[in-house]
Amino acid sequence: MSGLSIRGVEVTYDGQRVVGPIDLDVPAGSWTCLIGPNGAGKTSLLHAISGLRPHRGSVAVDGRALEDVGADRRARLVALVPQNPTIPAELTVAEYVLLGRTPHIPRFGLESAHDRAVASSVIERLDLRRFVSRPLGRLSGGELQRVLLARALAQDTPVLLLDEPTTALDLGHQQRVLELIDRLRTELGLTVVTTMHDLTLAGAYAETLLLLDEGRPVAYGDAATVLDEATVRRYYRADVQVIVADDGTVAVLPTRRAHR
Amino acid sequence: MTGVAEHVVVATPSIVDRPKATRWWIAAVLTLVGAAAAGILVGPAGLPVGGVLLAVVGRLPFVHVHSGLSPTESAILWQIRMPRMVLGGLVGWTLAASGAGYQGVFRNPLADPYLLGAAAGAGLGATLMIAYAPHTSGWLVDPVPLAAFAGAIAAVVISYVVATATDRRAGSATILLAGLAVAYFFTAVQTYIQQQHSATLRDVYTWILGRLTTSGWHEVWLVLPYVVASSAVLLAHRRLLDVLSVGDDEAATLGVDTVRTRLIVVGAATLGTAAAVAVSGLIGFVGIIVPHMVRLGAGASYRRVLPLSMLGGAAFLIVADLIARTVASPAEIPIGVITAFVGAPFFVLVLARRSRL
Repeated sequence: MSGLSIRGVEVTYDGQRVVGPIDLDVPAGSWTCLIGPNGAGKTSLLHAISGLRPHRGSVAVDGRALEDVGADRRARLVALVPQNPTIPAELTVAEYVLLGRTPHIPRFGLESAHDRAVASSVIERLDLRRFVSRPLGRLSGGELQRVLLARALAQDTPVLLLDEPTTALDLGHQQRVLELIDRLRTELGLTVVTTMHDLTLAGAYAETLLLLDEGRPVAYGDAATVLDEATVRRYYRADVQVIVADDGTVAVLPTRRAHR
Repeated sequence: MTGVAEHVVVATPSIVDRPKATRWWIAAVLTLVGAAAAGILVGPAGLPVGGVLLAVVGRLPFVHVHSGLSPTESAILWQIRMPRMVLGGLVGWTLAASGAGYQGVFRNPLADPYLLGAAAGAGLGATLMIAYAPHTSGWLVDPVPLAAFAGAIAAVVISYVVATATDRRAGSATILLAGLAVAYFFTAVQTYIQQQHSATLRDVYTWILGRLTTSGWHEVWLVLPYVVASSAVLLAHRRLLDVLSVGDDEAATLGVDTVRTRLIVVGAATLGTAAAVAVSGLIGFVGIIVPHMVRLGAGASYRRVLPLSMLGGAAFLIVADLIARTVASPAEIPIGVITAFVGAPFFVLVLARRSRL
């Protein structure tokens, strides 16, 4: 199939299975969000897809099994923006975004004019032009998140994985980053898989949600299907109220037991 | 499937230009030329400046000029000052490059070429030879540099083997800790041997402080192949060192084999360091100071840090040697004292700057 296809993926740590087995199809150009409580295996699954963690089962992009391709080929198919990236504070935005071209550059080569054009295009697209010469250490949280996204986009992959892309951002920046991801997905035809803790935002932006609990898939579908009060209470062990607006938007509100 | 590249308008001028570091290149080359000139012009023999410069120019291809130097002056220039200046340049070049390489693979700006036990290994090797083979004047080859070279290589190899035995992925923290353990162990053995052979203390101490003594061009030819090989490998990895700065996991998602890259860079840096140590003893701080000075001026990318550190390291050590052999002439101050004398205050400066960031 076109897009991302996961079959029987399992991740084990020290002989203990922490994820899977999971089957998941993410059609090309769509957005799926992995949700679930802490320790549910969301990040481990993303890492398995990106090749960072050894796993059983198979992951395929546009019908090509990632297990059968080399690391550089895999890096041309899947890009990952991690939750807690290592930030080389003294590199400039331009230098950092160019690193995204690594899978397209010969091992001992330097960037070509085409690589620089791609990086320039991404920087323009993400409105980062005025920051090109600024060191990463001097960016705000929102600016940095866009730069991380730019580096991943410069990789020019059909699949983009984002681990908690809105962590540590205020509400406005969360919305702007998610709108940006959605716009890029639409314009570039990207297949997007994210993890998110904010269920309301996850439901608002992702077309499909996959709820994981202790590494196993327990609910799958659109926000209205997955985010019902009983499911969220059961798996998050949280008191919530779920409101469905007239336009179908689902809001998950935490409530206090004593004030209910 | 569409992607970013398909959306690029190729006619659009790149806003990600090649870094403009021209003035730093010019400054580095001029500094090296100036240091080299001072290195061959200054000395107790008082050679005529014009004669020295003409003698050097006369060695260029297709240039035929008469320097006017006497045979003795010419011998001082070509058999004493020139090889010593070149040796200082090569040692500084490779120590600075190795320091930058280590800093890149370990993502630690305070890493130096001796990080994984190269100094302790070289020290132990030299001490063993000085203590147990004190009468080597009749030997075909001076065994102390060879022992120092072997000790430095052995220490780093052991550090790596220990690290990979305890951590299959050989993460940078594991390698650093293994290097620390090996360095302490080797230093303990060296101290014990020194204590058992107290008559050798002075010789060992002199070696540890570092010195550039030459017998003609012998040391230069000895160290040159290693410097060339080490530099070529490090320069080939300058872009990958930038990639490693994003961390092992992210570098892996960019298709880079971080374990292999780290092993190759450490191997090349160690080879260069071991060769430098073998002919010069332990000269500290060059591997830290020079890459930092480059970073302060020309930015943090290893595309510039590595080559500029090579030029800067060569210039720095030529000048340090000049000071070491002239400031208390006719006596010589160990060159390691000079580099540390400059290095310690610079360290404070770097720390102060880092705390302001």
